[in-house]
Amino acid sequence: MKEKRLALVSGITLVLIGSAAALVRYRAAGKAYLSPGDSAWRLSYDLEFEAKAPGARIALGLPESGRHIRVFREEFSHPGLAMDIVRGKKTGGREAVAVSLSGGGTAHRIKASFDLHLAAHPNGKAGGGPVALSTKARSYFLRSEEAVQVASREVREVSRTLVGERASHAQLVERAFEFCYAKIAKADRGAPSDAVGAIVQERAGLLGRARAMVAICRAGRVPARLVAGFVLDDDSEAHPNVWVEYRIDKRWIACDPTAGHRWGVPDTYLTVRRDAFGIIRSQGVTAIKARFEIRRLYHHPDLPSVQGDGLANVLVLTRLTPGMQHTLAILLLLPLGALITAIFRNMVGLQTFGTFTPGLLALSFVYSDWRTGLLVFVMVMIVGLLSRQLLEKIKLLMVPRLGLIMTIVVLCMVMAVSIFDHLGITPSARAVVLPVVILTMMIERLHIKSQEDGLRQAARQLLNTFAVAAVCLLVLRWQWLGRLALTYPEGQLFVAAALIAVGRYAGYRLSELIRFRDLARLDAPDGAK
Amino acid sequence: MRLFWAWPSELRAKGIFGINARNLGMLSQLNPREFYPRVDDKVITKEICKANDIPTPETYAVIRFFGDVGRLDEMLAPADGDRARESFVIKPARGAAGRGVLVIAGREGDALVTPSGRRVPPDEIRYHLATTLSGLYSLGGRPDRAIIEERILPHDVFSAISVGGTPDIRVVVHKGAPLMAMLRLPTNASGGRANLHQGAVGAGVDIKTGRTVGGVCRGAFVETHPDSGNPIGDLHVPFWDKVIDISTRLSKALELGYCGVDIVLDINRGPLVLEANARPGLAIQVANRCGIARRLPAEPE
Repeated sequence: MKEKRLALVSGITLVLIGSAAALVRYRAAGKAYLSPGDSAWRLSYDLEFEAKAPGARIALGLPESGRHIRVFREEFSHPGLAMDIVRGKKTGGREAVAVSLSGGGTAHRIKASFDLHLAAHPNGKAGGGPVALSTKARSYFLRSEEAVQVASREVREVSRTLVGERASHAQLVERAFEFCYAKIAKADRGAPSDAVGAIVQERAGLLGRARAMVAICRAGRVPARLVAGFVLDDDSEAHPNVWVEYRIDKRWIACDPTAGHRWGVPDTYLTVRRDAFGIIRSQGVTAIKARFEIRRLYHHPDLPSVQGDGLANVLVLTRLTPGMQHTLAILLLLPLGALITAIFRNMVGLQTFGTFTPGLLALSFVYSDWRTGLLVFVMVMIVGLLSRQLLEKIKLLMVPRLGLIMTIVVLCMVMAVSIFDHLGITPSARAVVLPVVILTMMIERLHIKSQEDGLRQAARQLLNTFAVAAVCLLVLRWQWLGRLALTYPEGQLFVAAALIAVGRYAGYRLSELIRFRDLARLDAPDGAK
Repeated sequence: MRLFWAWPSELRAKGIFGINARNLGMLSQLNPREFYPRVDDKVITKEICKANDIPTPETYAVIRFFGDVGRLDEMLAPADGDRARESFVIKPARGAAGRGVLVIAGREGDALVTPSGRRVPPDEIRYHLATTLSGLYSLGGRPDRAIIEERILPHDVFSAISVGGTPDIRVVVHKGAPLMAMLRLPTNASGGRANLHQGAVGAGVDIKTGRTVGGVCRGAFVETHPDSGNPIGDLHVPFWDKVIDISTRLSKALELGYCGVDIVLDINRGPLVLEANARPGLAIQVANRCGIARRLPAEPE
């Protein structure tokens, strides 16, 4: 019984170390003071809309970390919608794209919240030195648009009169700013929102004024673009702001011709989308109702207390970018998936295909949308099994045969990505891609099992695999669990202890209570035997 | 009303072993990992049998390389040049549950013929051997060897209660002492294989007397063979003392403290060891209507 004691000791040790580490972290987190001058904020989106047809999509711009503002946590809820986070090619900004699978005016609601750390001192990582724009990018930011009519007579005229002869770009920008800030009167209702309108009528709202500024800059050969975002200020009914970035000396410089910030904007300006004027883009969607809220956080247990560049920060995973946090959180949940599978196999007695198949399947469904994922899964399995049946006829050696099955799986997957993209019902390819190797092995094993033990047994084992995967999925999808795993990585030690406990479980499996029931009741308890 | 499950306490009272108890209490304690290849690879098992004078089906050839696949006929020719062997069995060295076993009963011109009369053209034999070597039937899909051995002519004592295949005897040996035994009888459902989870019948055999005590099929008690309807209880297994002697000697030679030995009865040669198993299943308890723990010697405190 040496092993038993050793297992017990190691289990208890793991739990003790884990508890101690978690306690230290918990107490430290409770005391996470911000540096003087810093503050924490929460920006919330609450969006309601109706989808006209399947494939209707809505894209939310996501706040960007910058020199002063860092996004340290983000959370989404999007019931009934497939969602993926994608990065724009031209501007590098992030968008959450949600796609509705149902149409006919189905009502949907998306909520998102972002926790931001506003630092008084800029962090060194963001920003960087001057970078030259490529010719292509330069002409892109000098282009004429529908509401930014760079080529129009009115805009050119204003540009010419403002600049005069041989003025530098800096002078042009300065005069353009003066013009937009002082000459264009602030107006709300009925005011023109395009550049020409604002210039001719000399009155405009936020957007019209910003567009006029961009148009004048571009007409004077200074690349310029709109920026959409928020200004951090306690506001339960926040409105998106629009400002301007122009390019001088190989740098983008922000200005706000409405608020009067000419050379750079205050640190509280939070960029959401560049070269755009709205937070939300949509397609095939009606009745959009959007509410934004900005709140200062006074209690912020999740805010990592990262001070300086100490090595101890390595243990603070919440300091990483939200995208990386998301990936790491899922990784950290994988052992939990293994634990669930172990419990089902060793304590319940459900036989599954492969040890890690349920967990990895569940993981791929977390990444993708579970409905499209399931659809692709069923399709791949059916095509795969049918072709496996055909392969049996031509009798191949094992490795080439597995390679062929994988080829079929890959082809199915690629076609599924293409078909779903054609129908427009996925936000990105990632929502469709399932683990190829797992599917290949599953097809092969399912086939062999059905040949050897009959279809019933094979179907049963498939069902078991699915049931365990579903349980894993329920756990892995739990957002707060992922956050907990990330905030307290020492939680892995508890999982390890639990795995040791399951590994030393010598009792009956639940299935055996049924399997041996007749044997257990064979004689009366006081029988002679 | 009766529950459809039994409580753990009921199982414990009967001394029934669960898989976890078998794995943790028996296999990990008594079967050192490094000895597993002795039973997982039948070539090694046979060598050990030979060294210890334990009878097994005669090995005609072991095919190790793809290059030898074409030389099957040559390898089957006996040393005295009499004539090529007409009946033999091809089996993977590391196979399990009767997978990849091909029985040849005779020749018909170029082709070989199975006991059921199916013609197997030489192409198919070569393919079968090649897939065996590539590991199709082996544990974990590892590259394998193919054994060509003597075909067993089953003793006719059980012909009324075995359908479509050869019955065998499984003896579970614990620290060199026979613990429990059962007769495994193929059925239509098992496709002629003596494997319980494929639907074969397991009939418990009394260790002392060698008499069968009724059986189990698909987890339920049975008293008759499901296909032939003949009773399976109270039959005497011939050569019982030799069966017990062979299995205990083999388990000692293998140095496995808990193993199952599978034995067939050949009409000419008597009991022959087919293979041994380091992870014997638990259905044998149901076949014997008795928990394994009841048969274990009392643990010295």
